[in-house]
Amino acid sequence: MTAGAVYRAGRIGMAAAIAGLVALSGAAAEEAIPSFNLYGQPGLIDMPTAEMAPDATLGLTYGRVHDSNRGTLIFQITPRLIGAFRYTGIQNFNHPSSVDGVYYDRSFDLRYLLFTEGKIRPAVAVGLQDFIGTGIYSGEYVVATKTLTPGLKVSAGLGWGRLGSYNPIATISTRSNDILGTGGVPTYDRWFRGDVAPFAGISYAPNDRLSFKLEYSSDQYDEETRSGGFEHSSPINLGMDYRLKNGAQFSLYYAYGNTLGAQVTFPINPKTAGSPGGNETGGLPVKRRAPGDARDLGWTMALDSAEASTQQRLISSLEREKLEVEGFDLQPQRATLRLRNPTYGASAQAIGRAARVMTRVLPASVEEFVIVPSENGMPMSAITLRRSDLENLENDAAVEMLARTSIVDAFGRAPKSDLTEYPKFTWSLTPYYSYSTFDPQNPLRIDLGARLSGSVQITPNIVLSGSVKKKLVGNLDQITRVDESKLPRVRTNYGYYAREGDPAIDTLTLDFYGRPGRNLYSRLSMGYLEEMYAGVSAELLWKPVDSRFALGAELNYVRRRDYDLMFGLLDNVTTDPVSGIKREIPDVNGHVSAYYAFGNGFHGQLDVGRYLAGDYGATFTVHREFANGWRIGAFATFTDVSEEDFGEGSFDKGILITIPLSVGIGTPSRQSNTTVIRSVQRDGGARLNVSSRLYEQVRTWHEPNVANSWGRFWR
Amino acid sequence: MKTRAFLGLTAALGLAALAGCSNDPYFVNPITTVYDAVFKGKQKPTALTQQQILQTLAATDLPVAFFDVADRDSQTLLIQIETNGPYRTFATATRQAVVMRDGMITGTRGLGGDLMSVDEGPLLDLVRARGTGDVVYIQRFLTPEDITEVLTYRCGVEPDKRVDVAMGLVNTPAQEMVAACESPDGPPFVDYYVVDPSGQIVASRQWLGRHIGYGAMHMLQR
Repeated sequence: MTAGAVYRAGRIGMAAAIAGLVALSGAAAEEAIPSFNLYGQPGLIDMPTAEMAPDATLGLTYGRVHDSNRGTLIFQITPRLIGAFRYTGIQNFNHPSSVDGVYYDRSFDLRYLLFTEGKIRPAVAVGLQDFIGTGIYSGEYVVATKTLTPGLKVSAGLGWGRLGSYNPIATISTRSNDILGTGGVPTYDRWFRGDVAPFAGISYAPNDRLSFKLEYSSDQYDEETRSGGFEHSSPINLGMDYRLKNGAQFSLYYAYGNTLGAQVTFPINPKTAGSPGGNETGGLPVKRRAPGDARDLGWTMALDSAEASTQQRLISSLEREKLEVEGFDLQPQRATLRLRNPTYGASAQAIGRAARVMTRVLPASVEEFVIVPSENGMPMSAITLRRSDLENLENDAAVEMLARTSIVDAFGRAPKSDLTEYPKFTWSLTPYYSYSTFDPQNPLRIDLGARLSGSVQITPNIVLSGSVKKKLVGNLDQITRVDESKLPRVRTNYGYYAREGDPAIDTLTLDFYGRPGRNLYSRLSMGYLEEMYAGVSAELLWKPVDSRFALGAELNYVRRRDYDLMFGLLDNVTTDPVSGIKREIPDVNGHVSAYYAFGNGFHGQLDVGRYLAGDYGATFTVHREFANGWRIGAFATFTDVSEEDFGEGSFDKGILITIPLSVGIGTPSRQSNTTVIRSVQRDGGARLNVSSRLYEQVRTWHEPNVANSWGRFWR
Repeated sequence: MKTRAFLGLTAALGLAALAGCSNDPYFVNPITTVYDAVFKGKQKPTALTQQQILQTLAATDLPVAFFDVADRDSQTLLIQIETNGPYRTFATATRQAVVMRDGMITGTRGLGGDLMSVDEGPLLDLVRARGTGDVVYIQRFLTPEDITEVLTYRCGVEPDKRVDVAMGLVNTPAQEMVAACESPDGPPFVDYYVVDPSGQIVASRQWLGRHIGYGAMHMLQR
C-alpha cells in the first residue's frame, strides 16, 4: 500500500507514553527474550526463526539496512501468535509514489508457532509477512529452529514471495501481481505461491548480553536493486547483538556482501513492566471489635447524632485514603457508603481501602458494609462485605474475602448524594500533544502545547465540562495533503482543522447521566462533542452486574464544527477539493453495540449502525487486556461503501494501545493514554468520537472486572 | 510590542502547563509524577542513629521493632499500630507497614513489591517449638499485572546455636532457628529466626520476595 495520513489528537498527554518507556526497566522477564531481526520479529538478521517472545511482549524496533528504514511494533498476541505492524521508508527509491525520493509503506505480519520445541523436534512456525495490501515486503515462510546447546540455535526454512527471491529451488503455481480492492485487504491470492527458496542461519549467545548471528538469506532485494541503489553481492549476512539488562537490544550487521545494517529494539511486557503491587503507602489496618461489642446497640438511642459524628470521621479518614464520600446511611446493623474513587486504577483497591476505614470508624454493632461506587452520579454496583469477614481474613489469601463478597446491581440501593457540595468546580492546566502520522510529506508531525480543562458538576449526574488548547510549538498546521474522497468529507478535512484551529476548543459538553432502571445506564450529551462535530448524543446501556455481556445503543445528531474550532458551526455539506462535488453529511448517525469479556484476557466489541458519512456497517474490535489496565487491540470496519469509493486501504482498520499512567509512576492512577494507529484515515466507516461513553465507566465496578484485580483488595 | 507580550504569555502558559496545576485535590500531574518516578525513584539510604532509637523507646510504651532491608540500604523503626488476633501491624510514620505474628513477618505494605500474605502456620509452629522438620510455607505477591502470584515452598527447619539477645529493651537467652526453603515457582532462601524461651521470635532475617529481598527485624521493646 502507498502512504496516506492519519491525524489524531493525544488525549491525556505524553505521560503515559513516557511511562511506557520508563517502565522498560521492568521488562527483564523470567522467560528469555529472543533476539529480534531487522523486521522487528524474533529472528536472525533479515530472516525469521521459529522463536516466540514471552507472552504479551510488545517490541518496538528501528532497523536500517542500506537505504531501508523499518520501524516495527510487534505484539505477542498469545504464546503462539505474533502480530506486527511496520512503517518503512526506503530512501533513493524511484517510484511514482515516492516523495523526495523516499518510498513509504506500511505492512502487517502474522507468525504462528505450529510446534513447540521438543527434545528432538525443533520448533516450527509459519508466517505471513506484509500480508495486507500492495506489499513490497510480501512473503511467506515456514521455519524450524532448534536449540543445540544453551545459547546455540540453528534455524532453517523455506520462503515464498520476497523470501523466495534468491536461488529458488522450486515453483508452486503462479504468484499473482494483482492488487485486491484498492489495497489494504489480505493478499490471499498470493500466499505460498510462486518461487520457493531455502534460508538458514545460526546464532550463538555466549552469555545473556552478547549474541553472534550468521545467516544465508533467501531475499534478493529485487525491488531495491531495480528502483534503488541496492547491490546484492552475497546471500551471507553476519551480525552481533548487545543486550542491556532491561532487554533493549542493539545490533550491527554486515549484509549482502557490501552494506551495513543497524538496529535497536525495546521490548516491554504489560505483565512484567512496572512495580509489582505498586509503591504507594499501605492502607489502614482492620480494627477488630472486642468480643461482645457487636451486641452493643446503646448508640442507636441517638441514631441521628451518631450518624452525623460517624459520617464526619468517615469523610476525613477516607480523604486521607484519597477517596470521597458522596453519601452515607447508617442503620443499627448495616452501613451504606456511596463512594467516589478519583485515585485507584484497581477498583478492588478502592473498595478494600474504604472497607478497612469503615472497620475503624463505624459503631461495633454494624456488621454489614455496603459500598456503592459511583461514576458521574450513577451508582454502579452495591458491594456487600461482612465486617467479621474483614476482621478474620485480613491476613489470608485475598480470594477468601472475594468468595464472601457479594456484588449486585445498585439500582435503588444508593444513599442520596448529599455529602459533597454542588456545584463543584475543578480545573487543570496540563501539557498536551497532537500528532499526525504516515503522511509521506512528513511521516510524523507533532504539536505541543497547553490545555486548560474545566468541569462544573452541577448536580452529581449533570456535568458541564470542556477544554481549550493552545499550541506552543509544532508543525501540524503544515498538512497540505489533499486526496479525493467519494464520500462526504467527514474526516479527511482534518488538515483544515489543524491549520485553523489554534487556539481550539477541544470539547464543551453538558452531560446528563442516569440510571433509568435495573441493569440500565443512560447518558445524554450536548454541545461540542469532539474536534470536528457538535450536536447531541444519547446512549443507553444494558449491563447486568455479574455479566460478561453488555448491550448498548447510541443515537447522535451532529453538525460540522467550523475549522477555527471556536463556537461556530458549518452546514453539513462538504465540497471535495479535487472533484468539486458537493456531498451532504447526514444529521443522524448511531450504533447498536454488543460487548463481551471472554474472561481469558480477551475482550470483543461489535458496533453495528450508521456511520458519519451515512454508510451502514459494522466495526469489529478485539482487545487483549490486562488487569493493570494495559490494552492492546485491533479493529476493522466494514460498511456498504465499496472498496473503490472508500479509496486507499479499502476499509477502515487500525491498532489500539492503551497504557495506564500507573505503569510509569508506580503509584495508583485512573489515567491512561490510548493511541490509535490507523494506516489511512478515510471517510468511510468513521464514527463520532464521544469521550463519555458508558461501557468502560460501568464495567469498572462490575463483578468480572472487580474480581480481575481483587489481589489489590488488601493493598 | 504586542508580539513580545504574546510570546511572553505563551511562554508563561507553557511553563505553567509543564508544571501542571489544578484546584482538584485528586489531580495527578502526569509530567511531574513521571519525573519523580524516573529521577527520584531510588530511595536514599537511611541509617538509624543510636540517638533516634533511644528517643523512640523513651517516647512510647508500644512495641517497637528495628527493620532493615539490606538490598535497599534502608533502616527504620516500626511501632505497633494495631493488633488483629495474633497478628500485629507495625508501621513507620510514612505509612509503610510490616505485619508480624509472634515475630514472624506475614506481610508488608507500602514497601514496593509487597509480601501480600503467607500461609505460615506449620513453619511458625515448628520455629516456635524450636523443632526439626519439613513444612510447607506459602508466600503470595502481586505481579506488575496485578495478578496474585502464589509461591509454595518446602522448608527444612532446624535449630542452630544458642545466643543471648540484648537489643534495645529486650534481654533474653534465645535459640537460633534456620529454615531453608525451596520452590519450583521461586528462588530458594534461608531464613534465620531468634526465638526466646516463650516461643516469641525476637529477631529474624526473613525472605520477603524477589523485589524486597531479605528483611532483618530486631524487636527492641515488647
